[in-house]
Amino acid sequence: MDKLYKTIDREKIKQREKVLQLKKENGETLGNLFGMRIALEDSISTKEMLTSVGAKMLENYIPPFDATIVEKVLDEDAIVTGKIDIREFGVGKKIDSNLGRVLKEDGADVSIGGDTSGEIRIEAVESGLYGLKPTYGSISRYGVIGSAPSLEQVGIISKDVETMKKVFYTISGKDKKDSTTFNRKDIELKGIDKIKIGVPKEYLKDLDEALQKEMDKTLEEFKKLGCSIDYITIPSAKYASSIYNILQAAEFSSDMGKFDGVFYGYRTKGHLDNEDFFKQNRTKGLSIDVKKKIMFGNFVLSKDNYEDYYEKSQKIRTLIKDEVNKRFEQYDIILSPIVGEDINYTVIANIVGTPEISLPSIYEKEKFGIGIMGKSSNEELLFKLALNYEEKILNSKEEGGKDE
Amino acid sequence: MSKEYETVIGLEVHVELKTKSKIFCSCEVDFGGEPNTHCCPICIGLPGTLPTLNEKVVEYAIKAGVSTNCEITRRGKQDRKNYFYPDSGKAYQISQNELPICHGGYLDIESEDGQKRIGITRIHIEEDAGKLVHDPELGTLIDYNRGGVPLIEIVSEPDFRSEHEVKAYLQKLRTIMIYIDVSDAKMNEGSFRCDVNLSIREKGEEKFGVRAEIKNLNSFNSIMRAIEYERKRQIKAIESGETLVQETRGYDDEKRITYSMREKEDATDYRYFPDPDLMPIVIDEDTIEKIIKNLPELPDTRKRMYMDKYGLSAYDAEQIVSSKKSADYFQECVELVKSPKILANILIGEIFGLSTSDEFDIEISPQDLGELVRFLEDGTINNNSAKQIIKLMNETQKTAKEIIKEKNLEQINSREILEPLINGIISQSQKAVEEYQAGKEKALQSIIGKIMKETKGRANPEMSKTILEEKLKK
Repeated sequence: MDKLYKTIDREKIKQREKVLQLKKENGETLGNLFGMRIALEDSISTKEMLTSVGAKMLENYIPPFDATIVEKVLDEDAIVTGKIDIREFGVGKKIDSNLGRVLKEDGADVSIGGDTSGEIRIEAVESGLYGLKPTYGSISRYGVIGSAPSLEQVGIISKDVETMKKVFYTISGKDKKDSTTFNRKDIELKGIDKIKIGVPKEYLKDLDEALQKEMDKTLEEFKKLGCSIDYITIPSAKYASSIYNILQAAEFSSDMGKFDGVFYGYRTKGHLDNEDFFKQNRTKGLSIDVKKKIMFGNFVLSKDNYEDYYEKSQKIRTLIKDEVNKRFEQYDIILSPIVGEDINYTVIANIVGTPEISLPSIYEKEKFGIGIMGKSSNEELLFKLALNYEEKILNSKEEGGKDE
Repeated sequence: MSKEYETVIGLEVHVELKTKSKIFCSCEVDFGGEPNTHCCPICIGLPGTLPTLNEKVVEYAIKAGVSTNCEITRRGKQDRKNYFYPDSGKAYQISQNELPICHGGYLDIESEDGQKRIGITRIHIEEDAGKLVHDPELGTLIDYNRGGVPLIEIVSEPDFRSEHEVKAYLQKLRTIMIYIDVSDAKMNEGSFRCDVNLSIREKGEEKFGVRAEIKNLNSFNSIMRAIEYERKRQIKAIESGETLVQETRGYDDEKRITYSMREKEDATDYRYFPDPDLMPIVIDEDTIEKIIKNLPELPDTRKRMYMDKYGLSAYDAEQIVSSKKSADYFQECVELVKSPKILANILIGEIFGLSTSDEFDIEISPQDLGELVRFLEDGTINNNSAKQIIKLMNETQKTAKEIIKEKNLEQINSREILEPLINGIISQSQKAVEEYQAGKEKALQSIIGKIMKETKGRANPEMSKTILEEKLKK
């Protein structure tokens, strides 16, 4: 099964298990995540483990420090099983992610990885699991080698909602090393029958039959639980993926500057001067997909284009934020489909910074799912709704075998 | 007929702040130290690390801003300045492009070209870069100790017309930084650095000429010389019909010339954008007020006080406040003496010259100097001996009292001692006596000179003069 991992040391896992077992036998206080097996995406820095981010530029890179979230899960007695490969710097040629498969096939309880446009939520629904992209700033990004700092949050994939909740509460919170983090406060919880769900009409256009059926069923079930359903509009949502492409590339191009062969990665031997040295290293050390992103990022940030691309995108981002937050004055949840090929459904939560949980499908496990997005810092309500979905909708259907 | 030209100069001054830790991590800020001993994953920019702003840096920038009459922004931003050079591990410098902490200030300066107000465009915070060390055997090495050391960049308006104005401004700015205790501001250690933007235009012309930015200036003297050289170079080029190009020039202190480093600095596109890893800098009224309240006295305030309270001349007062150390020294001494003016004269005339550095490093304690001034005031010694005593105090670390006793330098104030002595000298100076009596006032001075010589400078000069006049009138 090691093929699911990019890096794994089974011997080390056994040692860790022994240490934890001893701790238990000695009657010591046990951490919140005692014995939980956590797989990490290879973009999360681990002190004693290769952290390559799928890149030739980092093929031998072992960080001298742990990401804050790694420190936290270890402090709470979890077991880090190993590292799951990722496409080069999160933007390279697409590869099959194993973040979901390690849960189903290799005994991991939870996977943790970066969510910049919906990766974690999409991976979760494609594996028939639960995925969380929390509120921007709720989990420290320190040590997470991301592809767009203003859009990315660390996300969690789990088999059940309770586990996700436990991991989220353990790893979230203010981190001195990440100034975008804050200590979240729960918003007052309401009863399930008081929850108002808004469904953007924009997301309902051109749905295929199966997905339409899924949406209808989900909404019907939520209604049965007492939630109210309304159809709403978010007119600016149609720009979400376009501005994502611009902002992500801009931030990415700047983040990638450091991969010049001085500290890490591919290093040429014959070079004329500094410039030639960087040029050769980057030409040979990065893939064409990554280079394209960098070039596009440089383009949108260059003096002549900045206003038309970067600045305009920021303005549209503000517009989308305002529209979404306005809807949240009336609704607790914005519900949407989640489909792998289309980030337009998921990226809005990254652009606005709001939390979203992806729910596995009722009918077509591993094809698509449903996203429930809440107000910033309102994860608690998402967990509540997701738990209801899990217990009263999904599991009851499974137990019943057939519905209808 | 040759045309008249005007030199237009603007300055960019980088001041290294003396915070305990670096701007974005907890590494110690320390000058010197073995290479790469003061750095961590954050300041070398390892993947996944994030900067967190040291709040002291903002406080220090505000301090600098309110001390130079700037407006303080209520909401600042930090931007990435992207470039490829190995002096940064991140390939960008975190600086401020659009919303600097301070803007729109000024400094009033006094130079040999008169009084003037110099505009300060902006003061922003940024991180310093690492240092490249070129080793003939090992090649290029990088020392990241300096990387992430906090800086403020103080950008002036192009208001200078001469190197004298530049010098007066830089001295004043440097003094202020030391007064408000945000930097050591040592030019030789690089904690106070200055880039000069210089262009030439015909007098009366409003449009600016093509400017050159001069770098690598590490002393007041090299700045003065570089400006002088560059002005001549540009005028010569203009007069011979050459087209000047906008460029960055270095200064070679040995050859005393500027040389082209790279052309068209503006063509470099740094692709500035707001750093998404950092939150906006929010500054509230209370913070600013608190900083203003706790601000130490600035040189201009002290200067005014020395003029009003102690009756010093503007020139003397300016000299004393030109370094915080000398002003503090003066303030300690002035409590011990009766005449601040005598103290100021001694301080400027005798003590300043003894300093072993630019920074008023003096061995004589303020208490000891106070005692010496008191001896001067009460006539125990005269000016002549004071000079000798100060020299000995500095060399031997002895007090004035000890030296006076040892060297027998007490002033002779007794008429009984002076009269016979003066009688003797008169009888030996017939020629001078005749000249004086014939109306040549100067002749008296030569006789007094002889009296002083005879007494090894100890005779009370005034009393000697009085006695002499009495005697020669008869």
